[in-house]
Order: sequence, then structure tokens, then C-alpha cells
Amino acid sequence: MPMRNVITTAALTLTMVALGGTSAQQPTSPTPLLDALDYLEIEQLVYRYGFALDTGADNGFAYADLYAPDATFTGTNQGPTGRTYQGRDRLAALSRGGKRGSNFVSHYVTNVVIEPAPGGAVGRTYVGILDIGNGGNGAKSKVDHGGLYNDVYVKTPQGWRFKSRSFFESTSGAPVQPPPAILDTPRALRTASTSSASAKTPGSSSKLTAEDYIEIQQLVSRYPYALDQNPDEGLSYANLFTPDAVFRQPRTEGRQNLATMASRAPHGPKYTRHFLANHVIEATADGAVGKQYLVAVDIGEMGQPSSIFLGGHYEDVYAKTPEGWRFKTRTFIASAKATAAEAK
Amino acid sequence: MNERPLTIALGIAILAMLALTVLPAQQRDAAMGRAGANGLSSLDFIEIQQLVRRSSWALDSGDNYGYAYADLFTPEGMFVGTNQGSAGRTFQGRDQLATLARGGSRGATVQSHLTMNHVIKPTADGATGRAYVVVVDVGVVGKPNRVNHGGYYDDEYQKTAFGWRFKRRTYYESKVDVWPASAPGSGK
Repeated sequence: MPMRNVITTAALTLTMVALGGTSAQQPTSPTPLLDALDYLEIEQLVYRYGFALDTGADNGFAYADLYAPDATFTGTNQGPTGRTYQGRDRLAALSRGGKRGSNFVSHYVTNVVIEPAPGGAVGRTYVGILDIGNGGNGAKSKVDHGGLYNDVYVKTPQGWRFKSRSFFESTSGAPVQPPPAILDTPRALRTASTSSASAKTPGSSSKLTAEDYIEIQQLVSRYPYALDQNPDEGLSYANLFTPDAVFRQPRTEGRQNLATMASRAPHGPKYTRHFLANHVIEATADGAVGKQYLVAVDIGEMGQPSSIFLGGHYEDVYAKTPEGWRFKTRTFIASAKATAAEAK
Repeated sequence: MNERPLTIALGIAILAMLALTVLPAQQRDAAMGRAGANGLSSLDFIEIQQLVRRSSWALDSGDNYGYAYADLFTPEGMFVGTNQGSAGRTFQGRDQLATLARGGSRGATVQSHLTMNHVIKPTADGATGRAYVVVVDVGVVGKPNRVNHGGYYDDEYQKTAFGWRFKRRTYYESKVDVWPASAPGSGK
């Protein structure tokens, strides 16, 4: 064999070894990997749950359609052995009972943790279930109850859905039901190598990238700090809006007016009052819209009791500007139970 | 002996190895939004969000005798409760942090610390963040369901070989107050 061929063969062999070695180093696991959009879309599913359940939208089917066809919801607090709902009609019926209304808010979901698992993903969330006085006036508002959801998620052609969801009532100092397994210590996330942060999820209308979702999340998360802590006479607050933005209610337009409105609200370097949850984000043709729950809590100081001041939800239109995502409109709608006409 | 074929062949091999190691990593990073303009990728944000959320689970459950909470911190990580005593109280190191997570009402079905409004900012060597927390009494025997207290966490995060961890977490109780006149940017 000529020397040239030997060398070429050796080089190609080296290349093949490198190829084989690389693929052999790919992690092999029966558990599918999740990419950034998977985490964010599962989170969106979890946040849509509160809106769907509290509004009873679409005669309860907005709630039912968050589940896979064979999925179940189990209320372990319903009766001595709990109660399970399975199938679209039964889940929709569940969402039609109790207090509902197009602007009613009650289920505040937080602390959403998600882990990949065989067949999809699992997760857990806290839920604080508040009884917000009608009209958003918190005089009679209270913490009704709360607990945790234990979830199994499955990716369907329509997007991520609940495969099962179980509610466990929060208890302390009393005999408890069998506790769910503890969470793993968090590790660096492993991701699907073929994932794309800008990919459109099959069956979903998402045209937002993972970065878009996160920037919009961050925009909304900054809102309470700008309002409650307000270190600069409302400038940080006004900068969350586009120059032509409109805030309602009261209707406020223009940077200076927004800054003035923020500065009239109570604020201080350690003041926390506006708590936001269930942030749902949806892509639109020219940007994005979103909504989230608000509960304004007057935290008692020096051992004084705390109270709920206000509850409701914001409806937002976001615009992507050269400076990043901003509010184009932001409207607060106080919590309200269904009217007699709505309830029919 | 003509050395040109050797050079070409080795060149091909080196380029192939580079392509197999460097380029896929770059493609993965681009796909996941790494090395973005702000220095944190989408997954960095998500990991840090998950860290903060898990801290409530670990603190309320007291899992693993408190070590589930302690293991969310770097080995030298610390928690400062500015509301504990007149000068606040600092817990540093795995054992002290685990002890902190064992005190009070704990259990697998205790849900007390609801964190919200989590903002994250990249820094030169990691990230910082803030999150509101409202602490509720729910299902506590002998007590009505109610808001107990609340405030916010001021965090420093560090990326370790095991993922993002708290380097420092400081809790401030909510307080109606005014900005000191000398506060930068206070405008007052």
C-alpha cells in the first residue's frame, strides 16, 4: 500500500474514531430531555390552569382541554378517600362547579418545578386558593385554603397537557396523607441537542422564542418592584411601557403621567405589596399578549396582622422594542364572581 | 517522501475533530440562546428560576433532614434573615443551613412560602436576583388560614459543576418606609 494511502486511511480512521467517540459520549437515558421551550410551555400550561378553572370558560371545556384525553384530576381532599375525575366531560363539569366568573380569580399558582421523566415530564406547584371579595375589594378577602399539585405532563400533537394532576391539601400538625416523593436536588439541566429555542411547537401557536418568553416574564416580574419600591420617582415604572402605552384603570398615558401615578402609590425600599402569579403569554401577529393574577397584600409590620387589599388580574399587550419587550397596554380588572346572567 | 499528502490528511483530520467538538457545542449554545447579549442563556434563567422555586419546597418540607435546602447553596453559601433579632442572623455552611430548614412547621404537605415576581440579572461572575415571598399559614392546626408575613429575597447565584446555587440569600421583611435622602437614584 502506498504511503499516501496509508496516511489517508489513518486520517480517515482517526476521523471515524472521533465521530464514534462523540456519539458514544452522547448521554443515553430512557428519560427524554427537555429544551427551554418545553420548560416554558409546561409552565404556561400550569398557569393557564388557574384562569381556566376560575373562569369556567367555554362551559368548563377550556379547563378540560388542558388535559390529555385519558388524563385524570384527583382531589385527595374530596371525601375520605379523595375523588378522581377522568374524561373531558367530567373534567369540564368539575370546572363549572363552585364560584366562577369571567373575571374571578382564586387559584394562585407558584413555585412551579419541572423535571424530565419517562414519557414526558413531572412537576409540582404550590397553590394558594384565595377568597377575593367581589369587586376586588379585599375587605372580606381571605386565604381560603391551599396546598400542592402533583403533576404528570405529556407532550401531545396539541402541545403539553396534563396526564394526571392531584391536589394535596396543605396540612401542618395533623396526620397527613401519604406524602409525594421528595424532589431531587437540582442539577444542571440536560437538554435535547436537536432543540431550537426558536422552534415552533407542533400544534401550538407559539411563535415566540424562549428568550421572548423569558424577557416578557422578566418585564412583568419587574413591575411590582418599580411600583412598590420605586427608587426614582416612577421613572423605572414608566420605562416598563412603550412611549405610547396606555394603563387602565385609571386610564393613564405618557411617561410623566405613568411616573406620577406610580409615585402616588405607597412605596419604599423594602415595601412589597403586588404579588403576581399565573403569568400566561401568547404570541400575536405583531407581538404578544398576556395576563396574570394580582393579589395586593398589606403585610403587617411588627406583628400586626396582614390583610389582602385587592385581587384581580392584569391583561397586557406587549411590544418588542429596540430596548426589549415593553407594555403597550396594561389593564387591571378586579376580581368578580359571575353575575346571575353569566352563571346561566 | 512527499509530505504534502500527510499534511493534507492530517489537516482534514484536525478539521473534522474540531467540527465534531467545537461546532456542535456552538450550535447547541446558539439553539439554547447561550452567550446572549445579556450573558445568560434561556436555560440559565430557567435553572435559576427552578432553584428559587425549589428553595420554598425544601424549606417548607424540611426534606432530607434539612439538607435538601442546604444543598441549594454553594459550600460557603449563606442565608441572612434580616428580620431575625435586632441585627439579623446569618446561617452559613451546610449544617447551619440544614438546621435552619428543620425548624418551625415542616412537612411534605406544608406549603407556606409562595415566591413570585422573580427578577434575574447577569453579573460578571454569575447572577443576582430578587423574589417576593408571601408566607401563609394554611392548614395549620389551631390557626386560621391567613397571610403570616412577607417581604423579598435578595439573591446572589453562582454556577457550579452541579448547576446554579445560592451564594447568598438575604431576606427582608416588607416595610412601609421612605428612601433615604442619600440613596443613589432615590430622587428624594
